[in-house]
Amino acid sequence: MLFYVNYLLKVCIDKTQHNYTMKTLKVIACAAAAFLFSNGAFAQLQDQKDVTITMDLQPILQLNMSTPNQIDFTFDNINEYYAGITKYGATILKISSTVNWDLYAIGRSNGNVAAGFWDQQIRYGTGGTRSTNRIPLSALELRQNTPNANAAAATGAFADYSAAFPPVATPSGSNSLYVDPANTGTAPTANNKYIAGHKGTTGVGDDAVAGGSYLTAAAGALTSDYYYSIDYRIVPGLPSIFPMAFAADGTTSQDLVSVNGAGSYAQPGVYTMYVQYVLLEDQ
Amino acid sequence: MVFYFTHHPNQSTVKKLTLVWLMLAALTGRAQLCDEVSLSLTTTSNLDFSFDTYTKYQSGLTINGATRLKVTVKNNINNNPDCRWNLVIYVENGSASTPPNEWEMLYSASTSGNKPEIDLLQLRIRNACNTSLTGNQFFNVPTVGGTPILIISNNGVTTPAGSCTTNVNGPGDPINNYNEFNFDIDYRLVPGSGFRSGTYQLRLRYVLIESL
Repeated sequence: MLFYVNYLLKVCIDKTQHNYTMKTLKVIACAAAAFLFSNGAFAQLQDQKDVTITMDLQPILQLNMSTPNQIDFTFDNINEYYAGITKYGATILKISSTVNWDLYAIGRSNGNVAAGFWDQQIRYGTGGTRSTNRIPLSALELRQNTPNANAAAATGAFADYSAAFPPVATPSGSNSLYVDPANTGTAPTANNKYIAGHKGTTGVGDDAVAGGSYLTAAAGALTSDYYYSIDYRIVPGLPSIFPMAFAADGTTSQDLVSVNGAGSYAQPGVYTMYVQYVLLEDQ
Repeated sequence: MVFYFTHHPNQSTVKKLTLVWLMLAALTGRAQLCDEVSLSLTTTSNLDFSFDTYTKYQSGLTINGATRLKVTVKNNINNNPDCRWNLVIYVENGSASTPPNEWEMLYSASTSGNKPEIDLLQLRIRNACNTSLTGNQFFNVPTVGGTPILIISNNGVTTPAGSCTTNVNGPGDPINNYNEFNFDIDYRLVPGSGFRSGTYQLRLRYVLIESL
């Protein structure tokens, strides 16, 4: 190689001293070409192996709930009708999620009276002409121990159930349970209550809680967005019109008088309903 | 092949040498420094990480020894003292449409969360003599198109087999030099929370190259 470089330089520099013919130059060009091809034909030795890695990220939405199967409210004295019955910490909700999420509660029943009302299992007599078995599901009040910190996009009067139970003397819809009037399980709107997160997909803080778990709560933290203690209250009132029943917007009263007219009251009997807690990915 | 001369050649000399060069180029070309290099993968070429519980997301999944590479570099014929080799890893994410810092997304039913980035994958490369330049600790894989991961590099110096030290790059084989020419690769993924659920894929290309 050095020879050729040297030689070509000589050709350029000492053209006058060496009168080479075109034929000679062609041979040199061929030699250079062969040299280049020879380099290409003998590349570096190499070998290779491939490993393919597949990662399956399954969405984890885990709601652990500890609660009695049945929560009984038995009203058998006047004080309980007036003041209601409260079950503190009756349900504990613990969330673990790998994706952004929302959590809401919805009042449901089998609809054997009508959609949006408690199921009547048995009645104790007719109760009189003004009595009705249509007790709205929203008569049940909820209170969550930790406020909803991810509901900036909420537009309703009450974004969650974190307010203290209102005094019986001043009825409010701050804690009345969200109910889909058609009883089809439709999720709350931006105008209704969520326990955590809210309607929409704007992002964490506005309407979603970031993925995380109650298992990884900061040491010493007294509250967590992934842990909720739920209190329940029912206030029949006397007469039993359920003054704390409000529509999903939290402002439209659904007490028996407002709905059925003056003099209405609940028919004595056994009523049942259930609360459905729905944890869903915010998307 | 080098020719030295101290006088100006005449035309006849040039022609002769050129013909000789042509013959040599056609017949032999430029010889490699080593006789043979080969890389053997004795484990599976497909690794599956399935995250189906919250605990797995948080604590991660580690598959130790998922890949075993056996390196063979022969130099019995040439016996060239400059026979050395490199072992590198290239990361590929499937297609040009995938950003170089992300895994290739095969499927997703979700629209929320961030797509996982390539540096989520951690590797650890081990052998008994700890010859890998990466050390024996887990490290994060760089993005596609970035600097390839050097397990053994060409630093211009031959570190012969049997040295049992970092960057052994001389000839040897996995039988006679078991502690230096066998590499175990461990894989670890710790997703944590906030990633978009779905199925993702990444390819690691292990390349053994003769050093020239």
